Amino acid sequence: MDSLRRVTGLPFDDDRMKELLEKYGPMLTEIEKLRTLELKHVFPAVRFDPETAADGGTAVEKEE
Amino acid sequence: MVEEAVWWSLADQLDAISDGSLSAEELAQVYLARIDRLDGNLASFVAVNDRSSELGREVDQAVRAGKKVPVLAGALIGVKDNYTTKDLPTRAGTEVEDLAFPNDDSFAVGQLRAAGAGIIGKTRMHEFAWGNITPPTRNPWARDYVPGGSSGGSGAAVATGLCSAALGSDTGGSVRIPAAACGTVGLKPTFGALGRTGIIPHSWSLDHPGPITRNVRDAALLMGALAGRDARDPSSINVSGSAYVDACTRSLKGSSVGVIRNHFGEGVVPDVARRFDECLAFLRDSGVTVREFEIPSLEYGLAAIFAIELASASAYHDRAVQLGWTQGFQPDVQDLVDMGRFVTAVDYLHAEQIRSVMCTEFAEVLKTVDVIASPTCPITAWPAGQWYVDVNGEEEHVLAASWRFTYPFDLTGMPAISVPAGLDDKGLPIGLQFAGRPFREVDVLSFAAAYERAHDWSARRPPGFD
Repeated sequence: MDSLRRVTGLPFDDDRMKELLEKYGPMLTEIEKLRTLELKHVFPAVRFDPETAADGGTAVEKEE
Repeated sequence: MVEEAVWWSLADQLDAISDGSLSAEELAQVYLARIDRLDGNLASFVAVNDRSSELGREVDQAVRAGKKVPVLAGALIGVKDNYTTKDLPTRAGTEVEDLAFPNDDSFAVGQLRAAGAGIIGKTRMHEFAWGNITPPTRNPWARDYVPGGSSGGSGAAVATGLCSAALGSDTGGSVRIPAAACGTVGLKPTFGALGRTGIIPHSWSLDHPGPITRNVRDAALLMGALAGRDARDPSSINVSGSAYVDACTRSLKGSSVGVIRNHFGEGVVPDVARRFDECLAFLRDSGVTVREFEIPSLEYGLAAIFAIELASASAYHDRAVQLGWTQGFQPDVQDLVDMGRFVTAVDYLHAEQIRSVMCTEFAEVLKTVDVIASPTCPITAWPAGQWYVDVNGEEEHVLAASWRFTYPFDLTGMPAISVPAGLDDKGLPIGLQFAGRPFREVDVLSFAAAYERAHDWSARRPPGFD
């Protein structure tokens, strides 16, 4: 469970992790269908635009 | 007369206010009195704007002075509690006090105010838009039933004449499901058509703002007022707001509709299936060609929206998870937010890939028909506290059943509308859905309006709210 906590970043005790995994089970069963598909020729529906301004950036001006 | 005006369409209210035959101040007073009298039991509002009458008085003064008033002058709009507002608190349905939200107007609220509308209050929503029950809001047609969600407060408030119209947001069906469950119209425009700055995010690539209204023309009217470039929303497209209302009088003769037989043709309760068949018969009688299709990728749609929605919502709330604040969320929402971390990046990207496939397949269908029709939901509203429904002899979780026909159009970003299509044998509303090509809101509006003109479902009132 420690490894799973590290991989997921979830800060919960063993009981909560087990409870979440159990509840996630039916959704994972559905999501696993995606793993049966050959999709390497399909571009995902995400677009990167380097010119798009976004709020909440963490960049700061470097001081000389 | 003023008491009766709460049942008028928004468009009729605006006409009467602008010609001086209806006082905006008196209308506001009637709405506030109705909220005070009826909403204790209905629980559709979480905050009410005490300045509503004052706003109405200002409109009346402008009309009496012969000034030209803006298009929505005197309208009183209920706004879902995930739209930030400068004069009312925003909680996005949560009681976690550590979480604070801006006191600025969201883009959509700014558009409404610029068009002359007042905000009568904030409507109740399922916490962080992560569910379609909206506790403790009740269904106006049967108080022990849910109003749908996550914009359940908006659906219930419009259905009961507590505001002129309302705003909702739709990530998997959260405008259309409560619209269908409460007997109102719900429009989810094309992704990017309405700006989202100031709406507390649920899932960035799935969230759509949209109006919930008493009829289709009102949805068109609000769509026009809300449209416009939102410079702070990277997805925002500048669309024209002029053609939507005109589309509501268009004849359907010679047009065409598609019916998707897989996915949308499966697991529909008899009352809803019967009403949908009647709808198709009406369309044929109106000179519409009905064609049938299959969309193979729908088999993977639920997987895609699970992966995208879970991962996105958890990314938004990630710091809250790390700080332990999600422990204050409602148990169902806490589970969903916490478990989104289990979605792998590879699964997420596969979901975005199948989404591309789905968009392509729907686009192919829409090369040969104008719109796609389906029931909005395969079931009607269900009793509060009940988690499973019988769908033709098989038990299905209410959350899985209720969004089955709505989430595909959040994944594809296509415009979709729900229009009232009658009542089931328990007296609960049924919704009819039309979806169309991206940025062709005019098509879904014209089909929904034509159906509405030929039926009187939108004019019916839930019992006990006169």
